[in-house]
Amino acid sequence: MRGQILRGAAVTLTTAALGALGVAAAFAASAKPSSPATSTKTYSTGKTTTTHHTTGHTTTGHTTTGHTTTGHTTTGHTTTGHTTTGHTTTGHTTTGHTTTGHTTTGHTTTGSTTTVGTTTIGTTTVGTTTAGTTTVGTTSGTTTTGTTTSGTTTAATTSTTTGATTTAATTGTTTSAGTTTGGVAGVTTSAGTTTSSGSAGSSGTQRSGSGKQQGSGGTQSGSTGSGLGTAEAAQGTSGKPSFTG
Amino acid sequence: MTATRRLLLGVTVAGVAVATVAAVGFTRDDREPAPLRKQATVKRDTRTAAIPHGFSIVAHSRGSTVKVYARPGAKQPIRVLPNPNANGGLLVFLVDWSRPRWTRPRWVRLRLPVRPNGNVGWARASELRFLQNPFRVKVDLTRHEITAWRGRRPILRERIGVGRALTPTPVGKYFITELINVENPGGLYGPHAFGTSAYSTVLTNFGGGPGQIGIHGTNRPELLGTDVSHGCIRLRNPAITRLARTLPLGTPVEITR
Repeated sequence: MRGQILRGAAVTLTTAALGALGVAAAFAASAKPSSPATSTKTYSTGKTTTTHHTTGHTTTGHTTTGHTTTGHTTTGHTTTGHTTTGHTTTGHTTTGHTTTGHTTTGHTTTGSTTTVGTTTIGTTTVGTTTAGTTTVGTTSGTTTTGTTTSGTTTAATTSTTTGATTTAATTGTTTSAGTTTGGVAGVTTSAGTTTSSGSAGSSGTQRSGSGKQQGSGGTQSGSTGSGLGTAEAAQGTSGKPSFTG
Repeated sequence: MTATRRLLLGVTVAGVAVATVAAVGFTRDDREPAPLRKQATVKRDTRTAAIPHGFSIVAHSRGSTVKVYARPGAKQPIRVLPNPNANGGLLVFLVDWSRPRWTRPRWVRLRLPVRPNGNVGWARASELRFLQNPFRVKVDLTRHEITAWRGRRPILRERIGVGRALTPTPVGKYFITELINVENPGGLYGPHAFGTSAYSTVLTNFGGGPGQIGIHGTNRPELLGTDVSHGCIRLRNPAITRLARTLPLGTPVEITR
């Protein structure tokens, strides 16, 4: 395990260096299974996650590619094209995922954008994110709460976890909090040391991180770069006119 | 790095930070300009936007009233207009702006939706939200024809009924002030009625209103193409429906003969 930690740290630092050089701007998705200590070449494309920084990050059995993390504690975690702030994760596999202030346990996400102080336990979300919306592709299980989000996250290729991985099954879980993320499925995979899975009812109570959405761009409706928006068709009020006729 | 270099770097970074914070204060169009004494150290918002041919600037009220002044910087307003307006709609104005580029000013000259026709006044830009509008409308009283454009492209041309000789439709440059979705779409006004900033020159009240000129549908389409109304502009119900789904408040309406 110590060796894995060291190798994982080396990979993290290497990837960070590449990110700092701007290399991670637009990588094609080509992830392949890898050991926790092996970096894949899967990066998010589009506007999200182009550099890699890790601060205060404790990782065990963790493979990360194109990953920006701050204050992040992870166990058994595989991430590709992932931007996270204030994120605590256990048994978490993510691909093309942008998260802020997110506490997750036993969570698998593919190509989704999650925002703002959410707590998710034992969920599986599969979907794609295009500008301004999050579409949840496969949802089964119990709860779907809302849709999110502005920003353009294009990523989501392939992520595979091997190594210190066990499979945990979780059913009957809940996703909640603020504006988030749909998609709850009854299965959690890729959990190295999954805990707390399937404990519905505790979600939505924790909050960590800044609660500020990350991700890039998106489009602002009715506005131009000059600060002068464009008028849209009148809405009208219902009533009886008193014009001259 | 020497102590002198570190000092210079620190001063530079601090300066950039101050300038950035100051600039951000002017980047949003919904903020009050900074007080004058601070402007010596703050860049004004220099963002501009080209105004394409046929476009106009519409001002939406941001508060419960808009104070109108006789000139920029005047202390006492000559009018205080309520928002929403008397028909419950958003108070809007057509900005009297002739320059080819928009640069957010401190004061703006507005065409007002009140008598007398063509009335103008000045308002603080901070009380308003500005939008560009690609649509405009022309009404030809002689030809009994209304034409709507989006930019340079005409999007609708229709035969209309206009005011009779004793209750003429007033010529001039006006704008759309409101849209009413009529409760009885089979009636005199059809399904929709736009209010305009034009007022009858002979009727000071009509049907409980102040003699405001409207653009609306009709239940007598056979009369279109004639001088038939008390001043309003009538057109086919499908046409007014199309315009109601298209035109923003504040759209310029030029009435000519």
